[in-house]
Amino acid sequence: MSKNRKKNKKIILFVCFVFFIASGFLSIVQGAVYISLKQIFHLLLYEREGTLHQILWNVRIARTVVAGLVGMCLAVSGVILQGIMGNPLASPNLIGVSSGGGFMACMIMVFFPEQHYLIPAGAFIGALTTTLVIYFLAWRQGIEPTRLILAGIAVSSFLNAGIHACTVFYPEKMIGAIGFTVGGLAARSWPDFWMIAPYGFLSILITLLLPQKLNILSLGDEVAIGLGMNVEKIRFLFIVLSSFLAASAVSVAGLLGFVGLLVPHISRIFFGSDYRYVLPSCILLGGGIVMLCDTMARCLFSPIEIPVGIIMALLGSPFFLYLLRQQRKG
Amino acid sequence: MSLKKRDEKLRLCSVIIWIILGVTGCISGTPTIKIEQNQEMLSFVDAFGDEVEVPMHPKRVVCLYHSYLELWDLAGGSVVGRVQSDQPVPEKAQQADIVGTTGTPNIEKLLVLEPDLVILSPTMNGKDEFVSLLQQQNIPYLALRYDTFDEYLKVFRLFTTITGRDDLYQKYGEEQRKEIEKLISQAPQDKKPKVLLLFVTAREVKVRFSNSTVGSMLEDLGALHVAYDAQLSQEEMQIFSMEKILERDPDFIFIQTMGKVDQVQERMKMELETHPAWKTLTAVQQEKCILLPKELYLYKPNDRYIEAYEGLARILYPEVFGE
Repeated sequence: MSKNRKKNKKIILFVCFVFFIASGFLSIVQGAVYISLKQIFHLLLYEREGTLHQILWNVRIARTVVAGLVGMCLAVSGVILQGIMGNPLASPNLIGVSSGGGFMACMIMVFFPEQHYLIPAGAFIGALTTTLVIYFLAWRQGIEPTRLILAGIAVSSFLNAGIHACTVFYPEKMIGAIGFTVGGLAARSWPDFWMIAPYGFLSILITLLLPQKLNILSLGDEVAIGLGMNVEKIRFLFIVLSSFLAASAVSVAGLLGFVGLLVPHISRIFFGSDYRYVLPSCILLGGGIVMLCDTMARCLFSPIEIPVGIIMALLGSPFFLYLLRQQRKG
Repeated sequence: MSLKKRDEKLRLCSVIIWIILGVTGCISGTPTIKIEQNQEMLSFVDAFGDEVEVPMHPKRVVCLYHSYLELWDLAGGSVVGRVQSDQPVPEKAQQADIVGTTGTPNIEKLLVLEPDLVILSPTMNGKDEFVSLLQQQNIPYLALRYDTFDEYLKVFRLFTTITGRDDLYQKYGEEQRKEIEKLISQAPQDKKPKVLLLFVTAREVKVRFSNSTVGSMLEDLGALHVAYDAQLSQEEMQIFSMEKILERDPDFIFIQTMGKVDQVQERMKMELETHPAWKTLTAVQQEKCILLPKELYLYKPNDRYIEAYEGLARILYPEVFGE
């Protein structure tokens, strides 16, 4: 029986992998400019110059890779947080990544509009700093998840008020802020990828090495301590990892809130709470979903592009509700 | 699931997205001005499509949108109240009371000035609440919008009719029109340079269309917008496919930005020249990416329309208009 279940999980994980590859493939094949499959192979293997090669390599493939990485980072960040907090509503927004990144981006837009190229780095630093501030505010002889969540909500509300104040006092300087809060991948290319790749891949790799720790932590603090785990240390490590992941994604793609919250739940519908399966499936589903939605964002109204955040919320939420209903029926 | 059913579902999704985009796109509208005038009042259809009446020669005007303050000043009007702005304020309006900012005008400060006309923008935040409040208080208001030179002429005509200064209309309207028509007639008809007009903000790059101020000037001068097929309704800008930009390879890239042009210039140049996709464009390689000065091309040029047209003509056709 157990063997069968294990086999089933492996099959589902394989299906996730196929979904990931298919999304990536679709994202490379589809675009505003028509390039046939045959041409794509030709352009990649032989013809390394010309407009079509530039379109394929520097626009389409670069963006696909960025989308995939952003999706992976957000999904893993979300699954870590839900695991260590023992709270299904935990998401990167909760540890101040969105509000911290958003607030810093606003400050740069308002006070240093000429240095707008600092926004990705600023958002990254803002997100990370806010996470640490929330962590230390919630600290009292250790971290209790509920207190961390409440501190997160309070700090985020405070920073969000700052963001809204900026839009009230400096509406003309905040024009670009809408794009940031919805989240989008327009015109992202290799430099964006290289900017976040080191943090993203390293954090994902470390997380992948520690699924057992997450399994133990999700049993509750008492059990974890009983099993000899240094709960505080491990939890702090995971919070930093999760913050790095989400901050990387936010700095490139803006506030794509949906992935970090819902992808872990979709994974859990299939795999229960075993992080040895949940983690890799989150990586595959997160990356796949963002690549797929970004393809739609590019192609639905081509040559106009719409922010990928809109597509994800429009299609993702009903799909998630459908999965929830199915699960209840099952 | 049958293919037909799947197609229907896809279509439904598309319709929902269209509706959402449509609603956001419908917010702005070009003015339809139909003036009817008696001795004391002037009635016209405003940007909301409502027929409104405003007094002739108003004495206590409050302008809630800074861009229109300059035009009102140009039409010989004076104000008792204005909003705070970091753009230059006309000399006559400098002593006027400040009634908040464009986004959040202060209603108490406004009412205490007892205005007999309020000038506002149909696109400003909170306009609906403001308009209904002005209606309740029986305060006449004027909500108009202009982007192209033709629209400027219409709105300026209305302003000068209200102030009774036809001489100013002749000077800043008619005379400019004649000069600009002359300029346009000199532009080569057969060259049709491909242009891309970008509005660059901190987080995104959008293309502006031919219904925007600079977009319409470029079109008047015979340029062809490479993003000609990217407009859904009346919106002024959209995120445009980078793939299409590469495919259509514009001859000129004009860039509008909110930042200080001289400070942004070097950085922007470097970004374009090092970006893997942008640097392959002909306009970038031939250094034909032009960062447009704010005062003429981001704000309304008003009495400097000729200068604005000339500037663009020189860039597009240096062989005719000189460098």
